Amino acid sequence: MNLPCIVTALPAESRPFFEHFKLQGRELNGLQLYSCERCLLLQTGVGKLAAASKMAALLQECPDITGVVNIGIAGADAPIGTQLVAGCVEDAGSGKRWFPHLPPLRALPDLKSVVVQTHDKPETQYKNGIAFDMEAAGIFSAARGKLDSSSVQCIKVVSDNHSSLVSAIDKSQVFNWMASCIPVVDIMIDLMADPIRDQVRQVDEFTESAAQKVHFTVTQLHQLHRMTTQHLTLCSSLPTLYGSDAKSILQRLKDELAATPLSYTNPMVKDA
Amino acid sequence: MDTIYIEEQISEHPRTLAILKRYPKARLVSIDRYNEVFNNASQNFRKQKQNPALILAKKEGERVLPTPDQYHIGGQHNYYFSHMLNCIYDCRYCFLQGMYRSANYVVFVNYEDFFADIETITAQHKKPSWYFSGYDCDSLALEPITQFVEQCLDAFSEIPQAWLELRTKSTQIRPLLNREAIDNCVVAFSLSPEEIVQAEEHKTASLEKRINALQQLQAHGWKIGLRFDPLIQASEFERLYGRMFEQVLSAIDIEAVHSVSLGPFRLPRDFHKKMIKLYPDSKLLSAQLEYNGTHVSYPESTEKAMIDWCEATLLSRISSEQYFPCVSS
Repeated sequence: MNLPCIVTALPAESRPFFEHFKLQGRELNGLQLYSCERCLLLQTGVGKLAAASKMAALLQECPDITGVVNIGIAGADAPIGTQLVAGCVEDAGSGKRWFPHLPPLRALPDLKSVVVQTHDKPETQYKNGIAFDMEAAGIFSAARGKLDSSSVQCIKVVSDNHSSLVSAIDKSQVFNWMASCIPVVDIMIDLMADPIRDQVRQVDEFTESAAQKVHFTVTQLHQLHRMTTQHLTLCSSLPTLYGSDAKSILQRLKDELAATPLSYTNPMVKDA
Repeated sequence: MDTIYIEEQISEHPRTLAILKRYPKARLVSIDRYNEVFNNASQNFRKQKQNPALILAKKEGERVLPTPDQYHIGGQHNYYFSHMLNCIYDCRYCFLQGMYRSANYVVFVNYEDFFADIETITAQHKKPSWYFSGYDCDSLALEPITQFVEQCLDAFSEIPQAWLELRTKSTQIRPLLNREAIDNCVVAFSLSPEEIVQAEEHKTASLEKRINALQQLQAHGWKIGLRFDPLIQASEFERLYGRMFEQVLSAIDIEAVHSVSLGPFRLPRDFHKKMIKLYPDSKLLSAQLEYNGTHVSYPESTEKAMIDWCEATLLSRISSEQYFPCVSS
């Protein structure tokens, strides 16, 4: 399941994405998950612990997830409905911090970056540059162990501030705020595409298939994987394996690679 | 720069403020120490390289370090220092891809501390000391933003026993042309055949532009160095490198060249392992390389043939006093 995953806390936060991505619900070893061809959606429930445990469970079941976009509402010293991106996610309890590598400014020019601070209870001491939520640190603590800093992102929409209290939030507003974030989530999902995913997948499948026909030791399988990658890169094709045993197959592949010239001739560069 | 991380302790430093002024739209993120972002374990160098962030920090601890034994151009006491970590270019052979977890640029804004350390170390030796600046970064590439070289040259002009090598692929030479050349500085350009520049040295200036920069610097009185490093194996190696040597050597005053060095393509084993995971689609990294103790290199016979040929070709044009092979024993 080489897909990115949108992670929300509440049904009201998920609903616009169900419609936009035409997500289908399914159960995966007790985990309620929604999916389409482009992405998955996980709804964790409220709070840091629920978010961490659901996120960790999903990554256990689907270790090849390519990225995580946490989206939800937050309190902040900013106008209601403002979209924010986390430049830092901080667990208010432990002080632990994560720094997502943010996407290019040209891709998301209107998103101000803030510190998203995760609290156990709704926080109302609004401060400039900080958004309060209840899940982000849980999601980051689980996801950043498996995914790199470019692949775990957090977007928040301001739902409460000094003049509009937490108690005033209603579901229809949440739906509209999340719906307004769909273009941002779309961009984030596209940016999480792994440029070498297809090559890695091709080589993985080829190596697995070879291992079903001939016995390779673990070390030999690593060698076959590496040499298959080299062949694909240098010759733009998967190798043909000759030989009846692993040792002779690898030797012939090594000889073929050694004999493959690396040319830098470029017709655009003229001889002086 | 889209995102700038700023260490709190230097957030009001005049250089921090000057750099921030250049990027009014950048997203600013406050940090305690640069390594909480730069050295974090879960980062992808390749993805970050698409839009690296800038980290402004203060360099603590050892700032000026001894170079490896084979890394010199005739001096007895050799050191390197890095006012910046990482490079704006994207050369596929670069060891920084394997050394660092992050592709973000770190700029240490406490330049004066570097200069003070250099002064102290220089005073410890009777003979001149050499200081190499382009080890963990390109010395000139980010100069319009950092203005480090400008201030570094001011400092070195006050320490005649200290020699500076600026190592670059950049044509950002205006700060050097806007001032008088100083005796104790060599501006060294890394040079490769144009085909290799285009295929492997992404975002760098063309060979022609680098030669043009060398000409201007030489005409302005700067000592120049030629660094044919790393030598990249190719099926048409002699044609590519022979033509490049001719292009370079016919364009400059050879006798006035301070130093010429050659270096084969080599990587520490661990760096290579990391780099082939990051760039499995790189032809250069997919070519036949061999593990040689702690390093990865071309097969010994291939490497020797490349070096011997280059050495013979160069030594027919330059004096042996100008030549430094820079090959580890």
